[in-house]
Amino acid sequence: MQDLSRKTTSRRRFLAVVGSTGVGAVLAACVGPGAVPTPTAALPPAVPTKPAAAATPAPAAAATAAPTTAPAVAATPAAGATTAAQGTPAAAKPAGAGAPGGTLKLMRGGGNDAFWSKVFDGFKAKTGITVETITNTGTVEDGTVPTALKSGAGPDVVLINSGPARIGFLAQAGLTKPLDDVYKQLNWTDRLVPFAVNRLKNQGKIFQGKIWEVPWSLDVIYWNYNKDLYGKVGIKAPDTYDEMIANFEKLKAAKIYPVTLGVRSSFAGGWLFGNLMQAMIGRDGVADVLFGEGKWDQPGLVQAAATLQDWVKKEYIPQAATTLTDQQASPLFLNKQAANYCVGTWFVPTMAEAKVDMENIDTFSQPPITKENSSRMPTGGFGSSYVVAANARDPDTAYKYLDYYMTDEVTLLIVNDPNQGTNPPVKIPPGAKPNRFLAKSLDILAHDGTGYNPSVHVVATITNTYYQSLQGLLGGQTTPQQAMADIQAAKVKAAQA
Amino acid sequence: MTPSLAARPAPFARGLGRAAVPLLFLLPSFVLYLVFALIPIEETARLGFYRWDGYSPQMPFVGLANYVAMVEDWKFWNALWHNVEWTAMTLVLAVGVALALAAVLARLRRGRTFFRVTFFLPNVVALSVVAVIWGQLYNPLIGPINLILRRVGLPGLAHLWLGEPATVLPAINVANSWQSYGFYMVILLAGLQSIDATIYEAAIVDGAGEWQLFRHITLPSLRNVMNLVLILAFINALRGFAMVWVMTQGGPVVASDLLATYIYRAAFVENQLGPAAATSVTLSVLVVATTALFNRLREEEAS
Repeated sequence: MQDLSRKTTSRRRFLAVVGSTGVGAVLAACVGPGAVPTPTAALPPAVPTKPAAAATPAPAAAATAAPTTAPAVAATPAAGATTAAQGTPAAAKPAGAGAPGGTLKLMRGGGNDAFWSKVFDGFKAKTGITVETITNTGTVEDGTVPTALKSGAGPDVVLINSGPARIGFLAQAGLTKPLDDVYKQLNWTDRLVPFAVNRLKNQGKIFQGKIWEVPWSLDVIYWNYNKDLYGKVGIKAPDTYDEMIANFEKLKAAKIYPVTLGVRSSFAGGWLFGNLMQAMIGRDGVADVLFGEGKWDQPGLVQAAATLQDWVKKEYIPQAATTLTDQQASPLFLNKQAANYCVGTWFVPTMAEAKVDMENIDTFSQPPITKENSSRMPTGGFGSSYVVAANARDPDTAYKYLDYYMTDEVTLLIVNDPNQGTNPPVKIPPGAKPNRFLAKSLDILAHDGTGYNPSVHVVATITNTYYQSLQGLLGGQTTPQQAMADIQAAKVKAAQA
Repeated sequence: MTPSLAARPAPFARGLGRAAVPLLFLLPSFVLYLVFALIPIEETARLGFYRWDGYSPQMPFVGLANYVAMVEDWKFWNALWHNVEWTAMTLVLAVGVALALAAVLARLRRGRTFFRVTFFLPNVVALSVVAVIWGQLYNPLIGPINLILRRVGLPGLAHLWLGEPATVLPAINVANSWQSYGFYMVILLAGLQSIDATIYEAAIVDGAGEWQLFRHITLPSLRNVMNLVLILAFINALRGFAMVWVMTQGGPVVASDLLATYIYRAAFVENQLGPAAATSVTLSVLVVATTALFNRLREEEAS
């Protein structure tokens, strides 16, 4: 009896001990490392208010600082961004000027690893800084980039798609640093082509008047066409809109899709419609709509929308466009089932990968639709850009990397790649041997520049309505008037917000 | 005797002591539930009263403005109606097919395991993979569905399955039901196999036909299992997301938008966490209320 009693008590005690330990462990896990005294306090602060001498911390310190100090910074991103803006420019140095060593975390989308390895190796040889790559979707829209930046354990520099919906959003959320002072100090503006500088100024109107990005590529979006299909029906690249439509008719009669397009994945409809907008109201007219008081539902843009819808009705664009993604539509061009494809120079690597005869493909800009409009040029703008995290462990390392990226060395690495489709925003140095597509687009950028790709230049709420309206137009569910009125309403709503 | 009684703890303390052990066992689960369910629910409900992009330090209180905006947004009502249609289609296509197959399989004397596994297989494939496969099947240019329809002389039935407002939601639901019917079938089959065979034998002796057996024995015996399946199908239908998002992202325009895709777009494409949270709360209330109502109706019917 006594034994049994002792046994019962023992089990309860055991359970009590196990329970207490469990509760303690859970509570400890919930409280997290912040409450536990760690060497964090001894480390330099993540916000770079340090003197220039502290610009290149020992690699070990930098590696340790990221997970421990960053959450505190992430909790007050706006404050972090402000302090960084005040503190870093004084410490900024061009590539190779600082002490060797350190690590930079770079987040980017996947692919082209061989090229990136060359860039990182070159940077390490010059500065001793190792670049650690975080590869993922690299997009803002799916939350990957903002979450990584907010986490505090994320990247120092991120390469993302450009535009207010991305760059502007991150800036507004206090997740990235303004770079105006760094631009001045490192003379980055002098290294960019004038077109890129003007575009930075233009975008400043919707970016709180500040520069938040270093452009990585410039988009040049125009028509790509299969020369042999043109030859088969006896046509040439059009000089006027009437010629363009006549070409479409001949292609259709020969049972060749005049245009391939897939808008299920959104972007591609924007590339084409941006060209039609410009063909109707000109580059300045589009700029006024994107950055000024210009209205989306003005007669010219309603006419552009009607033109797009008309192209579907007349079967210049396959009716299947609404159900195809761009990945499903572009093979029609590569397989020579479609004669024309409106896309940017980023398509060059895809063509190379598909092993198509690239000599058989050429490009032309969309001819103006209205006679009073003289804007015959591709659309585009910044394709992708670097941003620096507000909680970057060592912003100077990030600036050094961006400075290196703007050097002739990297520029030549890009443009001399025969399968490259990236237009660097910097002045092209002697010794450049770009492929035929890149040579043409670089020439355009060095002279007249491009118009605007609306998808890149509007905020997320407008982009969403924009894409939905284009789907509606192509599917015949929306009238041109209604489509443009919806986008205008989204613009007004975004302005009020 | 008295001293020993005095030494015993008071009834309340004794009750507490007895409850301590089960409470200790429940504690880990409760902590997990608190952290991963209750707190997020509370946070979502709270967010519904703020305007926030998910990242900014600024988070102004806006009261019921998000709910008002939601009610005034025709796209919300469009998505809600699509949810109703989606649920009805799921109940017919997934549960209906599952019940029919389960009834047939239960009568099989041979090969039951083979067919059960075969029919269940789509359920182990990830929804996103199913979406990609069916996206290719529906491809208007090279998809086998349209190709076959044209080959057999029915070109009029070939459609832009994912591009026409009339066909897009049913087309996606077929894919979704194909993925999920096996799960419901297995549950229903287990229910069918638990029905006492002697009841059928007695009914057959009394001259009951196949339909009468199904109507008067099978269905009533399956009441509880059917209740479970219907609730599961109903909840899954109301929170339908992955298939639609991967296949059409709610498009063309908003022709296949469900509440879940509407919420996702607001939260993660347009970065409007407040309206998204308000709609999430509304969806949750709808799911709970409808499930409770359904249960009550079933109980009343049973009594």
